[in-house]
Amino acid sequence: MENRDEILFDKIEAYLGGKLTEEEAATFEQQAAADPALRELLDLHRFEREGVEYLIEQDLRGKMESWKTAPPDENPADLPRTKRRWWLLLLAAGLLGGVVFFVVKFNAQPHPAMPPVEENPPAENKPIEQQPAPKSPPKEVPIANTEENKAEKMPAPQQKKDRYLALANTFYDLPENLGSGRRNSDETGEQNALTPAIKAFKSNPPNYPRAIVELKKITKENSPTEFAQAQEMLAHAYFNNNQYKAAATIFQKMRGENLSPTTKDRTDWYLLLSLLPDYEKQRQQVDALLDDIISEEYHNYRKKAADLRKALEKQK
Amino acid sequence: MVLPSTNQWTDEEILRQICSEGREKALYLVFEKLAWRQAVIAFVVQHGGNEHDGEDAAQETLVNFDRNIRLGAFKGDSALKTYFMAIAKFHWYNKLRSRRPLEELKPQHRMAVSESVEDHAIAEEKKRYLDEALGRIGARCKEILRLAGLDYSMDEIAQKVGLSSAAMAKKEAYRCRLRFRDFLEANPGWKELLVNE
Repeated sequence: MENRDEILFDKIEAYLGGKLTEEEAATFEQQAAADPALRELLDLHRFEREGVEYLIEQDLRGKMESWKTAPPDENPADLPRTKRRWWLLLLAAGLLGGVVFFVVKFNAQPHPAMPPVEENPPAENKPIEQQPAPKSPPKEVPIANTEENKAEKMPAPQQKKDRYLALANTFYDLPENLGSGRRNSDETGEQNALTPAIKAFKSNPPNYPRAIVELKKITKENSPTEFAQAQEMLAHAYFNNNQYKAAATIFQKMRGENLSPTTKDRTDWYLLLSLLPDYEKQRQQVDALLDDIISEEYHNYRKKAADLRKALEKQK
Repeated sequence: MVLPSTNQWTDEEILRQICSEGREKALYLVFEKLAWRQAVIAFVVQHGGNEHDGEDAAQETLVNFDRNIRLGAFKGDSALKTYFMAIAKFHWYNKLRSRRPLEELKPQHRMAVSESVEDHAIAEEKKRYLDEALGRIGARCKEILRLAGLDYSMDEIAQKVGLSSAAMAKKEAYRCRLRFRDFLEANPGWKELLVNE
């Protein structure tokens, strides 16, 4: 049964939606004029409605982007839910039929010697290899070094995990302005607390464990700016050293600070990539971050986030 | 749902679909198939903008067009495409004016339609606040509120988000609004945003 709050809620909604008769609306306006609390509640509802309009707008903007690649008809996600279920059921039935067919076929015939299990199936059968090679610098235990047939032998959850890891690495690029303003300290001869870490980043191959050690030495007492730069570099060093959780923890902390719009955008993106290897557990936060980035019209990583979402959909 | 083929879509049919289940298809049709998007881009390029400006203007136009139609601002006094282009022109001239504040809007820049083409765009500052607020309510709540905002029935909402009944959907929608409201009550910055309008 509805309580009084719900009744009032519905009445305000009806008023704002123009669903009251003229007489009812006039009475309601009189009540609001005499009651500041009701007036404030009305304002609150108006603002909430704007929030809803904003949701509709964000969704439409996302759709406009998706129309560039596929009209609504061709995208199963756009089908009404019941239709989508049927589509999935049909697909499942088809697959089941295929399995039954093969089982029956193999059991019915005197079985010749089984062909040897293909250790290295053709590359196009392995989703992990459909991703382009990571653009990031080589890592000490890079995902690209995974033996080609390893994915075939691993249990399914591990395969999935590795696919997300590969995806994170594919989309990862070391930001060009990392430690900004101090990258040329070698040339200028200027030394500062970040210099040893920058050297470790720049060495060939990059020495991320060394960078981590150096960056951890920098505290707030150095200077707030230096500390902030060190934290961001540390997160990247962790990421490149395959310590994604540690990287995510730092990016998460940074996000809670008062950042410039550019740094905020960058932090959103790298937090997302740091959480991605653990997508099975972090799905909610990753999806929410993707939502946020894609819905923010001027977000610097909007396009990349949209591409990542498509790649994730394929993985699912 | 079987929709008529492209050349059978009248203005009335498009309007009807935008306010119902065929909304996305109708918007896609006008924007892409009937090339209204291209018409906006061409207009912007001819009037001091580039392709990128044109693309932005086209997207803004569709958002406003959709909103105006759903909220009943279009009264049917002009053809739908004329109305769409009027929104685009209004948006683009405002944009130009904000880039060149000393330039006055010339009479020919005003629209030859009597309809309200006003840009009800949500201010950027408000969007930032809303991002924060809506970020707290969860993806499912956002979807429920969006569908409710599009006038889906509680039955349809229940079906779309996987709830067992219309009553459950109604409860959930109410709960989502309360969650949203909790944020607003705890962060009363929205009051200033309303006052500043």
